[in-house]
Amino acid sequence: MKTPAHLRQWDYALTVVTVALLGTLGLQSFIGTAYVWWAESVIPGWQISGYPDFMLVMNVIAAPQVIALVIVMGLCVPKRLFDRTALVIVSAAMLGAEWRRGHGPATRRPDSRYSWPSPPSFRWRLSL
Amino acid sequence: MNPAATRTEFAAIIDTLAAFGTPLQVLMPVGAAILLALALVPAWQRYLGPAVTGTTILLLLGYALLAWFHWRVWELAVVVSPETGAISGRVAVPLWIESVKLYVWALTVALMAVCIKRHRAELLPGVSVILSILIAGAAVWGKPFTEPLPRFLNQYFGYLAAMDSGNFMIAMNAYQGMEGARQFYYNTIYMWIHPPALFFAYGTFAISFVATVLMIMRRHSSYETTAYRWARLGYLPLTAGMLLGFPWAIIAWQGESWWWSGKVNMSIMLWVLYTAHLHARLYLRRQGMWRWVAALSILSFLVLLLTYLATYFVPGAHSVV
Repeated sequence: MKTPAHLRQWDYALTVVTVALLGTLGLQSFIGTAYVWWAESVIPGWQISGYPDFMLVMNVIAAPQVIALVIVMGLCVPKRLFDRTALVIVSAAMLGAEWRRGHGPATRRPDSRYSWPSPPSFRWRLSL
Repeated sequence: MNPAATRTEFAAIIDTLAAFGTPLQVLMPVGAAILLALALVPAWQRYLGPAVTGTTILLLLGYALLAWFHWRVWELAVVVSPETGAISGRVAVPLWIESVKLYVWALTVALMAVCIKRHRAELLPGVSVILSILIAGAAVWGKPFTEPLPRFLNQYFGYLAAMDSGNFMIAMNAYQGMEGARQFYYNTIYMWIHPPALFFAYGTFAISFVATVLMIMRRHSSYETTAYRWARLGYLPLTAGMLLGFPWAIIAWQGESWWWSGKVNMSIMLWVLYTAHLHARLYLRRQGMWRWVAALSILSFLVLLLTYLATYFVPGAHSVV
């Protein structure tokens, strides 16, 4: 069966977005390398004083890109490997399992072991 | 343990390696020059096949000699605790580090060049140019036969000297350094999988690069298929090798800043670019897309070279600067 034109377009857009995200991650890595090179040679003791902040900034910049990449590839890759019926069944099963977990006996316990831990405190430290 | 006797035995095996290996190390740049000439002069290109095979056999013989040397190192490099006098173990120095790195890369490309089937005649000149550069580099900078394993031998001889010094604290310090390197660097299972997987990937990417250059020059899609097949072959070991590096780094570099270090950054960049290259290829038949695919392939290989060189230029964990 031939894929309709609008789906081909959507597929192509996903591919372009994936490549673009990979490209920006690559660019970030390159800039990070250049910065490490520069900082190590110019700032005395940068390994101790500046490295933790550098890692934090790199993580903060990379995180949304990685999340977007996982989402885009999650939309892009499985449909190339499995047929639509199988994907619909698995998706429905996952939703059903999640609904059951949300309404099951576990959440009614006062000392639920399934509750989320409180998130760690997070500070934006963008000064390099 | 007798440090003086161990040093003497080490000197003997280093001399033997140099005696048998020096002719080969001299022959390597000559062979590289011949390969380069055969690759660049169209009339001589028909001799490239036998020349590449001959070079591969020569490199394999040299590698057998290096394997013997490493085996003898393993027999001699015993690490003994100054506290208890008990043997902690032997140092198994892998055959792809320090002075042997470029040699292994050259050998990998040579073996793959022998195995090329599709577009063999067209690919061999380009692959031979890369091979000749690697062989010359291995002989001139690596010097695997005349200056073997400088960092390991320096550390191990330092350890032997400390054990011989009669000062317990100095001996203990040197022992801890040597034992740490033995457990977390030389003998760890990661060291025996991570670098070979990456060298295999580097070899396939070199051939993929040559095929991409041919595609650009001759504007024919069949070269792209060849480039893709070689890149695909290398992508899995690259991914597996990088993933294996992650737990190794966590174990070996505890307390050291290594995440987002120069080499790690470059490796991530290399992986994302090859991923982008293989992904963009899905729409190769779309108008103008082959240009993007070719550009990504070329860029990926250039980044591969930078990633390799980053170890020598960019400071940080993973670096020899």
